[in-house]
Amino acid sequence: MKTSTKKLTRRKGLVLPAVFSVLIILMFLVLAVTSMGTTSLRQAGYVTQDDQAAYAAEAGLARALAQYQKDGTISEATGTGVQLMKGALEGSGATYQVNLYVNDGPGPMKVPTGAYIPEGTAFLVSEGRSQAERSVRRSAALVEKGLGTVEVGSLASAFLAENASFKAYDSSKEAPGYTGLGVDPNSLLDQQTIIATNESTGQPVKLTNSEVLGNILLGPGSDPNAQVSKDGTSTTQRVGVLEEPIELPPVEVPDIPGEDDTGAPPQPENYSPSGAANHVNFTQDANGKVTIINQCFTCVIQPNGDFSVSESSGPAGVSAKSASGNIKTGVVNHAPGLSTQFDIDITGSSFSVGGYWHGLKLTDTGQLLVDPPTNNSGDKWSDGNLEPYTAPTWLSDAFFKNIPPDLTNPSDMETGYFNNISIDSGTTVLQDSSTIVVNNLEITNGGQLNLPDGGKDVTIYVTGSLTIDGVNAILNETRKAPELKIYYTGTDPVQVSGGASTFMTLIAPDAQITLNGGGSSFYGALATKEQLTLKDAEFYYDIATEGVGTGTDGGTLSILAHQRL
Amino acid sequence: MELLIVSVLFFGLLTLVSVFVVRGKRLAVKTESFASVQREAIKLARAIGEDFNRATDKQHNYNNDTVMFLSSKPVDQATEPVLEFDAATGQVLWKQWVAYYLHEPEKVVKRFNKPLPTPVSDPLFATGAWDMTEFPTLALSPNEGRAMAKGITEFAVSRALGPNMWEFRIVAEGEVPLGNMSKEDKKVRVEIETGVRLGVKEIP
Repeated sequence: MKTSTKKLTRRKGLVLPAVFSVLIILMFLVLAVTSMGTTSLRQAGYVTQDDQAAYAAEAGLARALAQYQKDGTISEATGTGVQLMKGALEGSGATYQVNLYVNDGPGPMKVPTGAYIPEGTAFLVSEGRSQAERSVRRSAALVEKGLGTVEVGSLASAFLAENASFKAYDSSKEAPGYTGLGVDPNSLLDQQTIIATNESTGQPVKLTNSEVLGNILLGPGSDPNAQVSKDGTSTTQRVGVLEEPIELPPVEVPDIPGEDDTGAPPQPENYSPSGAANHVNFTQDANGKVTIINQCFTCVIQPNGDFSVSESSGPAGVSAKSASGNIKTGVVNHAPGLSTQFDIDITGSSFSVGGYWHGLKLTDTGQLLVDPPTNNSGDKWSDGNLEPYTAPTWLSDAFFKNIPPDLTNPSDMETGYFNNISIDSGTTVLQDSSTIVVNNLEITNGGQLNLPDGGKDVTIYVTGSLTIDGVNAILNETRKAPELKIYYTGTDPVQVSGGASTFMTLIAPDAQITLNGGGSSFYGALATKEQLTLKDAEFYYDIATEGVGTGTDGGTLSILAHQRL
Repeated sequence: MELLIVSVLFFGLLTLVSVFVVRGKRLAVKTESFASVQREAIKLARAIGEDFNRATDKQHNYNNDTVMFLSSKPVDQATEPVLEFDAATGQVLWKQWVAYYLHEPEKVVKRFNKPLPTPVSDPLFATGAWDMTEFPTLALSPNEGRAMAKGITEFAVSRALGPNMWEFRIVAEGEVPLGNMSKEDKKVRVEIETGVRLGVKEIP
């Protein structure tokens, strides 16, 4: 029994080490294979976590921007300094934290990343972390909330620009004595609001091969991304949306006191005497034309004194009548070939017209006599009963005040009221601190309206029509647009073409404005409630004019920069 | 007799296990070779994707083995802010030129960078870019550029997906380090086509 036991013990001792050896070898092999597999797995895991962290950072940034746009803050805290937002992505477990640094100014502000951010901007840095926090990614954005309240360089219902440019500068920053082409480069400005429109439908700004080196404000409720039309070669800076329309104040043409020959500009008027003669109506247009209608009787008197009068025919033998003339000169021309004529009398103190059916008489004392329709008793003035009235001043003035003078190529112009001013050769020098009211102003064929160097404070009101055409038609040698203002109250389109010294402010509320002509440059400010067109032209908004109005853009969040760090 | 039977069974089992292990090992080596080549291609795609996040679509150039662009990354990360702006306008300051170049003889894609003489906020004013013909010479210098990925045989912009988005084609190749295989079987090839955006898309 002892021998048998020893043999069994020896056999067990051989198998066991062999099995262990094999197991150890197998273990190393398995470890090697597993190691190779896990390397790839780990690599893929890192990539996944990295992506999770990046997406978390972007999600945090997007959420923070949306909240900042809505509330102006991303946490309970407000004002300058850091604000915080935290969150997590559902499912992945990735988290984010957003820091917001707001710079309300003044001046640039240094943020913890070491960068400086401009006044009026906010810097958002979002840090995303994967669930296991093995990967951290950051994304940042610098934003500006709206343009704020700004002065605008041009206002119109629509802007059409072709081969044009809109720029901004400050004439007070030009080097003294600067005479180069265009403006002093050192006076050019960035991020000014050059274009503004109150329109909020369609595409009120259309740019073709044009640049706007400044900002644009669209009407309330506009979509800043859709309502500025520009082709591939056109550029703009920021586009904002007005909170309220910019109101263009009405132009009030001053009543210039002066001599008899520089009376106040005509205003639209209407007068119907009450009583038996209420069939008579007197009207005056903005251009000074007076129209008198008494049933079949019509008399029209122009500001320069030209008149025309007509009446329907009467009983057999009484023809229709027609005549014309000038009440200032006393000239009367009866229409030829008529069997009967008006009885017209013009003196220095009265004007009377008698027809078959009607008649009227106006004296310089303001007495108005009307021959009513029932008094048909012949082609003589003062036949029948005359109804007396007191004429309104404007009506007396229309007859008895001398009309404002016409000027052709005057050597200079000072404060006064004028009818027609035509400058088609030579230079007309504007006097300092003058206010000029003119019905029609026409500068053509090389004539120049000149504000000499050192001149200042000239305002011109144009009530009829305005034409500015030709090289240096406006020659403002001061290079200061605030010193020369033109207000145009008419409705005829205004065209400004040619010239490199057109430094002025032009306000034409009811007229389309067109700047065109190769190399045409306009420096100053422009406003109309109609369309503004630039073709092959440049508009430089001079901020020294303080613009043509003030608008507020508070709603649009502009992303100045967005980077993944 | 019992010992003999146990030994035969044991060695039979061992042989069987060895066959499985050897085959498994071959498969694992093959898989690892694929994974390694794929890793290089992905590494390159991710590197250029990250670099492009800091690029601008207003200043770039490329040909069939080179892509060059302007980057806002700091030149010296230890001393410069990670991102800087023009303190007046808020525009990003562009600080350096970055280029990726495939050096075909070595199948290596190298990344080069060159600081701008002066950082600019308007990319169009950036100066000092490389001439695209400089890279074959630059790549030969061990002191120039940093190898980003090995085994790359193709690296080029295959097409534009938009005004500021390109599709890159990256091909990486390698060999399975095993005997008893034909040269064709040993060849491992990975192709990646990926869209990369120059700069970051505007947040809606």
